[in-house]
Amino acid sequence: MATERFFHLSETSAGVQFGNLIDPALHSKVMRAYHFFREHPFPGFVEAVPAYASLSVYFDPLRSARIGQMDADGLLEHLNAMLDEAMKSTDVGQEDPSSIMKIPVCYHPLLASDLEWTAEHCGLGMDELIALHTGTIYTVYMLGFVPGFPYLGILPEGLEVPRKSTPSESIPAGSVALAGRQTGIYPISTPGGWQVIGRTPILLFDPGRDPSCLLKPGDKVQFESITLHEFFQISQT
Amino acid sequence: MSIRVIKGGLQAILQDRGRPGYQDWGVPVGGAMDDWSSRLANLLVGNDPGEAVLEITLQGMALLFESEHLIALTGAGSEVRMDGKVIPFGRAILVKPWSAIRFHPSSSGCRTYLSISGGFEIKAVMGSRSTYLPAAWGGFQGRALEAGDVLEIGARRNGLSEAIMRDLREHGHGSGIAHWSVAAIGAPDLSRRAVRFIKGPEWDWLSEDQQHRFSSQPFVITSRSNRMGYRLRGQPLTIIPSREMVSAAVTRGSVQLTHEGQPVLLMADAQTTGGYPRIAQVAAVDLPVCAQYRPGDRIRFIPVSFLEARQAYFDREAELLGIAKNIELNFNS
Repeated sequence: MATERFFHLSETSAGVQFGNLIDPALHSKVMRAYHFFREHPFPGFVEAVPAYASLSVYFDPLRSARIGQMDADGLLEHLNAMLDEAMKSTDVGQEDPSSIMKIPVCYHPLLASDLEWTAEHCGLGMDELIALHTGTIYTVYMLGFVPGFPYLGILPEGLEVPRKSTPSESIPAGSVALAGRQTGIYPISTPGGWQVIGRTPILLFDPGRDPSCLLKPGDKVQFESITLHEFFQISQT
Repeated sequence: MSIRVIKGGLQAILQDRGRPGYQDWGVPVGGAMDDWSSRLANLLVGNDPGEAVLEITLQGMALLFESEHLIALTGAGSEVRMDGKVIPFGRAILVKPWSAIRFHPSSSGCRTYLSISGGFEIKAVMGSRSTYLPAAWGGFQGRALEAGDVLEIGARRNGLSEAIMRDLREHGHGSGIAHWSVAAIGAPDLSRRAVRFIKGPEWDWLSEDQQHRFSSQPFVITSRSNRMGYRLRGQPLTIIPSREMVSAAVTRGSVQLTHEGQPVLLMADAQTTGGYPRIAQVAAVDLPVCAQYRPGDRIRFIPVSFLEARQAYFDREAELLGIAKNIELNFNS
């Protein structure tokens, strides 16, 4: 039985917290529960949203009220029972190790305003920095901040940098950036506080595309270093 | 069948009930800030409550109607004139061809909603016609309306809209303004200066003293406020000892506490996850009230139990269903 219990987040959502850490074991619990709720929607279920160590479930209370005879705690009990079921099952949340999404990134100061600063801060040569960043297979722990922004972990210790004390007014779309033990990609141009070390020519999110979002929660990702020339070649296609 | 935008005003955008179902991809739900008023506006003209409406922030907008249309205005934040005469909120209005509607300043409120029978002919993006300004998609070309834009109106009106229009042609006394309105006892009081909240997941990170400080002082809504959220300013709150949390879900109505000790109240375009402690969650029934605050307004937070907030939610939804049923009974008999 799962020891974690759901609590009310709002009139239309409930949450469950597995811990307060960026940790693969906690995240695999989150992913199990995420897939289980999506595959077994209860009356009124709208969506399940994973985060690092927690899952939120959104629903239409008018329809979910049928569960547990209009009793708010009855709904939580139902969600807890589903969670227990999710933790027992073995057939959900299993990723295929062969499917690693390769993301091309140009690590060049022309396209990455904080690349040189980061190398200096970490005491790394440019080649060492690129080797460290591309040498790790990352997990998409969650998406958030703006549509399609993947929170990738866990970043190698040698690349750990603080957030900017004052966020940049505008970080260009495609920017690959670092903060703490996380790396991420800005899908659209937006203000942001992470340190930018590269840029991808790949479109991470396009509402007109199916599926709109390139990366999904739980996906595996690896970066590949490309030249400026390759960057602009891919950008044009 | 179109409406011409003569002046865009401060910000006029198309909104419906948003695009739930994609939050796991980081897509905000969005939708009308004052969801009560947008739904009411639709019901008044016989539309489905989820039809797209114009969300008009404060004043400045001017529209020209080229043909006869059935519209309704709800919400607050402007004084609206049709061909120079003030027209009321909360009523069905038959607009004559070549009438102009202008939005003038008013003393309170922030967002006016304009519905039109037949709805706006706009392609849905990921299941919704809501404008998402930060990524410039949805609604009308992903942006606020500007002078020169032409809004196409759906040609197919439903039977209920037709019945309301017939009634206004016969009994509108030339003004085109319905003699009836909806008396909603459970409607939100859009002039409230206090909103109810339930404890957020990190409420207990605040000492009792700090909890009291949150619910006893007024906060100012600063100018750094938009559809994503309102940055509030008051006597700062502190979490002692200081604690960090990994990002977790946030939603419309979540109150996060920033490192500076100031609350941020998340609104319609709220991001899907956040890394600041979620100290409170504003009751869903009071979010329309929040949507009508202007920068500079003061807000107070009153604690209620989850069950109270939930009951109020059910009562509010029942109220809206009742209004829909009443309108239908009156015109579809």
